[in-house]
Amino acid sequence: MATEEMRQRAQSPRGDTTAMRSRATELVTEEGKTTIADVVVTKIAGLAAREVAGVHELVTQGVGGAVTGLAQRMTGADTRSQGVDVEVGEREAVIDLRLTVDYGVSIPQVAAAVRRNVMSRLEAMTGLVVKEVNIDVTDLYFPGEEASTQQIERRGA
Amino acid sequence: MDSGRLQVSEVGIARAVVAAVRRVPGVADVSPGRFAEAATYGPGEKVRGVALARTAGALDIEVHLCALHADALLLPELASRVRSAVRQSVEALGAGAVRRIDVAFDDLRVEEA
Repeated sequence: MATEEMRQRAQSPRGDTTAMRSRATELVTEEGKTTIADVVVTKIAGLAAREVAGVHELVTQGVGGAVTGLAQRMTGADTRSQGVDVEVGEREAVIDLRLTVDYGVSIPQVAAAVRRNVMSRLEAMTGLVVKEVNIDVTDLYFPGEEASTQQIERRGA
Repeated sequence: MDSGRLQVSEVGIARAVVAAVRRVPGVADVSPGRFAEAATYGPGEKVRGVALARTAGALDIEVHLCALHADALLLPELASRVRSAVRQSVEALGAGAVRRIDVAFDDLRVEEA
């Protein structure tokens, strides 16, 4: 395993830093290389976090969730990559998430589920090894606050 | 010999645990928790009544339930029956070692005579 990784590392071209930053990962093979952009990793992580029951929504850095959500709806911005920061190396990734959760859930349990789902989705879809998923719970959502954005249908046991 | 990996999702394990707990005589039902929701969260769904934590491959399971009131009710004894049912169901899945099973009696169902 280690030798394979080192061989691939040695083969991967050393571009200038800006080009390397915009490129998520390179899976270099004898028959050609595969690159995955950061935005792809960001969107997969965002969708994976959002699909976990108990997560209300992902929020943009630094601003209150409700305000940001309103601004996003008004401007029609792509909400799938909000609240997600990724740091991607050649084979590994670190994901930072900012999200709000439904009132009443166990935050450690929901955070663990988000971590699990983001790691599984990313590893399955991109082949990247996710080293860390850091989660910042920024706010709580009370049902009835904005009934129209209710996203997860509760399917109780 | 390593012939491959077996994986069971946390939600899948939780569902098996809930089914096993419900079959134990003396258990009325699983309970959704009292102060915080007791549930296992997965993509698009949650299973109420069971919370799982996995550390270093071993599972800690927290079961919340409502017991049926009876004259001969003994909660510690019911808890140990719940524990062995849970352990059996998880081991049958091959979902890894079970370390702790915490049982919380959140409520008591009293049938009116």
